Amino acid sequence: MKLWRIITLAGAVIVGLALGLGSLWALTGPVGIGEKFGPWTTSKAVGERDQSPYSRARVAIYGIWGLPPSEVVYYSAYVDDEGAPFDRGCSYAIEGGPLPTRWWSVALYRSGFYIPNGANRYSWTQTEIRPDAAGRWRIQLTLAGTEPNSLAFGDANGIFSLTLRLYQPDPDVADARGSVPLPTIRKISCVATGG
Amino acid sequence: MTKRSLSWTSGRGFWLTALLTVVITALVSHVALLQMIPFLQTDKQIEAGIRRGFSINELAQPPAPRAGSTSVPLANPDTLGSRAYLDLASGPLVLSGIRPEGCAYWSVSIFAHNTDTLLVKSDREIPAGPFAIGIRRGEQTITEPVDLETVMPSDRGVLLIRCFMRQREDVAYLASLDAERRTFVLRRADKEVGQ
Repeated sequence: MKLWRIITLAGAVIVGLALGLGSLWALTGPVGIGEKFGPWTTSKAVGERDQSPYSRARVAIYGIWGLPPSEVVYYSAYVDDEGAPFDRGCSYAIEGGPLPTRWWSVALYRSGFYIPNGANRYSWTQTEIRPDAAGRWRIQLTLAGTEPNSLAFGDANGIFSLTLRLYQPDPDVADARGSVPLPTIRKISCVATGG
Repeated sequence: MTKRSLSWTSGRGFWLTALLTVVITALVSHVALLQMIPFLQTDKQIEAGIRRGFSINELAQPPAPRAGSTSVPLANPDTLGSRAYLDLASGPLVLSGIRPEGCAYWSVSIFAHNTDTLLVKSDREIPAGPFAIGIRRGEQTITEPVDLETVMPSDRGVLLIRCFMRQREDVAYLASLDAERRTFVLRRADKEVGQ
């Protein structure tokens, strides 16, 4: 066989690998998969044994050993109510009320991991937040996280995300996730961070 | 009219071969990696745990999470957890202990090598007091009495015990939770503790 034909076939293998792996990367990406409710996204497949191979792979990469919906319903947010990605130069208010679940928590991550901060505070939970008389509560996202009920963006850029976890939610929540009165995520103000 | 046979090394046959090479390589690489991802992610986490000093078939009781303390993406920062990387090649295992009462939520879960959830039992299902859970392969047997058994489809797996902290800044409370989880023992089935 002529050399150019061998090179062409080798190129075909490389193109095939790029297509196969590229399409897999696109189908297992962390953002925008699942049902959307405002800024929040939720997937019904986490922790289920009959989930699709794509869902299993996605969960294995981005949230391995997640629990099934009977135990936990997860909501993720990568953007605020206006659809803008979180900017650590801005502060945000997450405001909500009673949630239909045994216990809940809201955690902030940078590129999937805890953000170092002086208070070692990475989340707020139902038993730590003090709601007002109407049961309303508020968490702030700020640069330093030193304000009351706040979480820190920290000193580095990255992909910031929130995870709201509802532990042992009311029975109808797993199949009607839009019925949950999800917290709002409102941008309060922004300052220059110098990168 | 003469009949011409299609050769894969020349003319249109060669270009058809090149196109088929692209398609088959793309499909095979996509499907193969899709199936491998959950296994690879489990192995990656086990290897990361071993680098942090954990051992196979030993129950680790790490302190409350801190930034940099975990390799698991989107890990729950509210967990005072216990963890074991399982390998049933040398026989079945038994997890025993006394169910804690101070957690906001408590559960035992076992995950297969491909991350499938094999078992989740929470404090709503495991009554207060002593419990024992057998973990075995299909062909293995556990002769000692246990409350329930989990059959694993592969030797490798992961055991997670989640205890969610009501107040992570309450040192005395955390010490009480830590004392409660120290009752847990993971050991080879049909062997006494310390044998």
